[in-house]
Amino acid sequence: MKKKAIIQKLAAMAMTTVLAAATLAGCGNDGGESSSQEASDTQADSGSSADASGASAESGGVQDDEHPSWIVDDPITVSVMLSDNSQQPKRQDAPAHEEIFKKTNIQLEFQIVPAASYEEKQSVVLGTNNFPDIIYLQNGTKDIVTYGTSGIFEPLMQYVNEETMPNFYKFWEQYPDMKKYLLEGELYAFPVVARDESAAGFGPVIRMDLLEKHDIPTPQTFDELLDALAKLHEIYPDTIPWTGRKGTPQLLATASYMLGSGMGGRTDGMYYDFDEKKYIFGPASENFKEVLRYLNKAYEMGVLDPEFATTTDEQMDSKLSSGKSLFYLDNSGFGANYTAKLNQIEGYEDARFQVLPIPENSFGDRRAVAYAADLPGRFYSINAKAENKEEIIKLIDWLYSKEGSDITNYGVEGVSFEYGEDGEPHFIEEYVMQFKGAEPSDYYAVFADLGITKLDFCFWAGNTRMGSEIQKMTGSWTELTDEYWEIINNDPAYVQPHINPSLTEEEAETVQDILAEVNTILEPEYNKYIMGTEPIDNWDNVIKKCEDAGVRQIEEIYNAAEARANAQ
Amino acid sequence: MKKQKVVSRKPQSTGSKVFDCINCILLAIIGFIMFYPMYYVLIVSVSSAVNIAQGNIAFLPKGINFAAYERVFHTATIWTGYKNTLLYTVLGTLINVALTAMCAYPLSRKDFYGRGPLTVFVTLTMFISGGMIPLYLVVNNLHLLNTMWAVLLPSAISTYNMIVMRTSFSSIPDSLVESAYLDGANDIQILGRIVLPLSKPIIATMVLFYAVSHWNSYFPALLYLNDQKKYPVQVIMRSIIIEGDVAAETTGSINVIATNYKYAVIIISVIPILMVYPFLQKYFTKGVMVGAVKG
Amino acid sequence: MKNNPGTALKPYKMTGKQKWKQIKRNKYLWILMILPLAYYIIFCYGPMYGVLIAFKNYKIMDGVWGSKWVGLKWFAKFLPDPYFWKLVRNTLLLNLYGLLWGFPIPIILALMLNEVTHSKFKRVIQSVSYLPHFISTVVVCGMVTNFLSLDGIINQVLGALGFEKKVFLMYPEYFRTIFTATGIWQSCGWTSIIYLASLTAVDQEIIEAAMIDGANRWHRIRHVTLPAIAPTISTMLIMQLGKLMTIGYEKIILLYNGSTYETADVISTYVYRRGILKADYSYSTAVGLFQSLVGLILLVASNKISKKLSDTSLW
Repeated sequence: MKKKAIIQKLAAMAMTTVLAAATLAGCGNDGGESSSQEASDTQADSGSSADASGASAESGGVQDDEHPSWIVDDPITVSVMLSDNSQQPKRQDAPAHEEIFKKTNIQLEFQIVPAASYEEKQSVVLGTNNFPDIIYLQNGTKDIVTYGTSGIFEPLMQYVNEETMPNFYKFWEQYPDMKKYLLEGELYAFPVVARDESAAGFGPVIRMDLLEKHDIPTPQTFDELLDALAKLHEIYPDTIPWTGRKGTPQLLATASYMLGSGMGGRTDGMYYDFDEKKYIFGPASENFKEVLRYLNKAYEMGVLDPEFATTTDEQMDSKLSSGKSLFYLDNSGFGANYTAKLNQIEGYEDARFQVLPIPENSFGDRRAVAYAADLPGRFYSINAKAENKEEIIKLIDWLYSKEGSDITNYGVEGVSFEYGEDGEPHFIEEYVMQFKGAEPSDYYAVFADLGITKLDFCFWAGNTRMGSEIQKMTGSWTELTDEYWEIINNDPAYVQPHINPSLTEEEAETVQDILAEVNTILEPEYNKYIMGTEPIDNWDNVIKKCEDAGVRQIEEIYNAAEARANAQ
Repeated sequence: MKKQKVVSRKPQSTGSKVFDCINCILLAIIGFIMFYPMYYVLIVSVSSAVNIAQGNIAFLPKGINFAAYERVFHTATIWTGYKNTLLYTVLGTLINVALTAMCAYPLSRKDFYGRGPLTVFVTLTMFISGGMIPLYLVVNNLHLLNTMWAVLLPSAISTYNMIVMRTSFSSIPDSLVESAYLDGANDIQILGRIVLPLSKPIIATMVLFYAVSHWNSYFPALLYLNDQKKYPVQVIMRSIIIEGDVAAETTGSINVIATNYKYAVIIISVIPILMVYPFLQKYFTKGVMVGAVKG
Repeated sequence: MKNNPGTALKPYKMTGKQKWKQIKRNKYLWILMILPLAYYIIFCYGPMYGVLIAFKNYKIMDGVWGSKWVGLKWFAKFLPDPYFWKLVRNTLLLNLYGLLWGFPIPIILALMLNEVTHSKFKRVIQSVSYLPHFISTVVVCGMVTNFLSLDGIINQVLGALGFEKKVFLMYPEYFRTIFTATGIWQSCGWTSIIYLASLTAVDQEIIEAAMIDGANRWHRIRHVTLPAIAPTISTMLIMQLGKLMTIGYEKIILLYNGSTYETADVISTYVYRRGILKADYSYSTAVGLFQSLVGLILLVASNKISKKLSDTSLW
């Protein structure tokens, strides 16, 4: 009995392997393109909807009259690789995606890749020159430099004119900064343009209710801020007043510019100084000592979280929304969430986080860089091998148009939005109310359900305005949010981020090598100075080491590239 | 298990009793350390967000609610992912175990001509690989992209597991093989009738190892599959528990994915594979092999 | 070099005809090998030409074959760099600690489980011991950070015992301990399954005979059980030694920070930080090739040693 069973099992196994081998062999023989096979697969998938609209087209006779926005007479499929993220999960059959098909007769076939692993997949599909017709570039301008000249992306300048792309051309004229995306005179990716975005950014956010309760005046300078936090610490000795997330790199990236130097991104170091009007490598500058001095002072006073170098997103979230911490310097919009969570706890019903106007630093300046509001730094490239380039270009231009943008930001007319008297789209309340109380938030639930706004396939893209409209309908909009936007919008300290000029391939390689070396020198040093195990004056030695590693050379490269870009 | 009873019926010395006692206490402590984190994930997944933020959940859930699970049950992608994972795991494990045994058995036979060079040939692949790009091109040239074979075939044999299996096969007495030869059996019949039945524990181990690695695997799926409908549950789980930084800069207020939701996703994605082990456990009982040799 | 007892004696040199005869004699074994060999050739050796790009300047449009040769340019970028050798040291040390502690523990665990007579208790502990294997690294590291934070469990216990509270993750001297301990916690139950499986092969009658002879538990374990699983142990050890140069970056990136680079920065994290994963195909292949070669040397050496000391060897 037993033996028989095992032989049967073996036979089954053998069958499987033979099948597998057969599949392999069979596949080895035909030489057709896999992408064409995929395309026909999806057309079969979407067959039903294609048939439906195809039928209506036939009965209507002349298609142009019936479907003025159709780009092609016979439906075609265009593949798009897009990043997914947990706040707003994406799906193929979202209403906005289907509406694009109805309007243009182009079926989009989405390859949706989780954001956390997008970069790895992107690197392989680009590295093998085996990517969809349209691809979202995870690292924006960096990817343009890396892949632009390799020849895998369609050069786009040939289409950038009033005749071929009337809608995009308007933005091209409107935002001269876009020319900075040119790589040796050629455009390799379409930048997403913001639609009515408000500028948020990093900012100091404090428990306003406690300042008021204890009659502590709103801090006007960064030094006063420390005093205020110290006073709060005195009153509430169990608290850790100032906390953050993602360790030292994030702390420096958020605080440096306000304190008179800069970091660029979390691991860059290069930043554009609007006061000096040039690129500076922040940590290797004299002003950076002021940043370290300030953070060291905060640390020694017991104001800065002693765990500043190791805190995670979750820990920051937990500390601020449980009353353990009272201040943070990061994305100032988080405050509303912490307030909402705190208010659910007994004794914290009146707790309120609010952003402070940017305080004055020790150089007498008030300065901060907002998040990009006009050009949010999202890019899409077109595969140079794509079959229907002309149609793809038309499709993208249509997405830059008002009609296209309305659909990709508001969904389907009559279902999720309708036009008001001003000719502008507005969400339909009945639709929106289905998502009241949804997780992670009502508006992200709406965005995800419809497949709309900036994080989806959208070229003239909004986010904040749509979000606030939804919040006002569901009632999750608070006075705190109104107050927040008022403070941010009236604070003259914020500037729009500077768009980095494109480097040549050779320059980019030099910069990458030097940056790797310089940051390896720097990263172990920061904590020593913040925690005071090294006196600030020794920072000069660190600067010296960076200079030996070639830090001034990358400053020169950047400034030369900037000059080149401005001359264009 | 019968045998164990025979053993325990013998009078035990005091030393032996003390040994048992200490052994059990130590194992209990180890068991607790191993158990706690998963238990923690479980209790957090049914606690309320407010209590989680306060960070005082240790042994019992606070503010018990199942909202997180409700949300998981409404996430359609998780269920298609589940279906795919099951398919990939069952089919993949079958292929793996069959191919691994087919490779391990000849290499375990000391009289197999070519054993040495073949072993080197196979072992080398543990260290040298061409990297992701050429492998992707191979998969593409075989037209496997966006099919489940792209997920299953490139990892059809784990050399590491194969060597473990080979080591186990080689502990089978040569005399058994020789007597089977005398009975007129050929090598394939010997593998099927003698070696495999004697190797249930190692087969169970391989099934477990391969099944779990399929269950936990996400990278091949991510790389080779384009269609969201084909994603296994791990790809979906990762996109939920690892947030991209993207959203942080898009609006004024970010929406952190609730910890209890993340943890509920973990629990849901782990439970089915945890159920596999108890079924295989009987193969890890002492004396299975020896009994079989004699019978 | 030494002929194992029981091995069919091989003539020192064979003619082609004799070789063919040998192969024919084992033809069924060769038939079994066909599919596995096809797998290795297609999916492992097929893509292996890719290592060439370590010596080329890989350009996407030119492909692997068409790209220009640059000789050792990429190796010259990291091999002379003293920091790179620090990374090599850290990689080796982290792995060595993992081996020193992490290798025996699963064996001990398996032996301990093997000695348990109460079968229900044994089953429960066994099932529980591999739970950590199923929690993804991100979540494990999140928990580790929480447990080690100032008001985490570890510091609370230390505080109660009168020790000073510490942010452990900020001291380079603790990093290896933290990394190794969590690694063992994640994998020891899982790895012990292999040993449990090979323990099933131990002849119960020998054990009983030993008991009747008056051998105590300890003697039985040492003289009967351990020798029985020795081949498995040495095979596992050889394979572990071959992996000494490789270490994944995911867990380290989640646990380290600037303060702990001194001990925590390894080859893979450095490569990751450089952003090489993004597009520097040639450079990352060169680093990978270097790691492979060192791993291979370690494997061959340990295999030789094992062959000398015991009869076990991989080939």
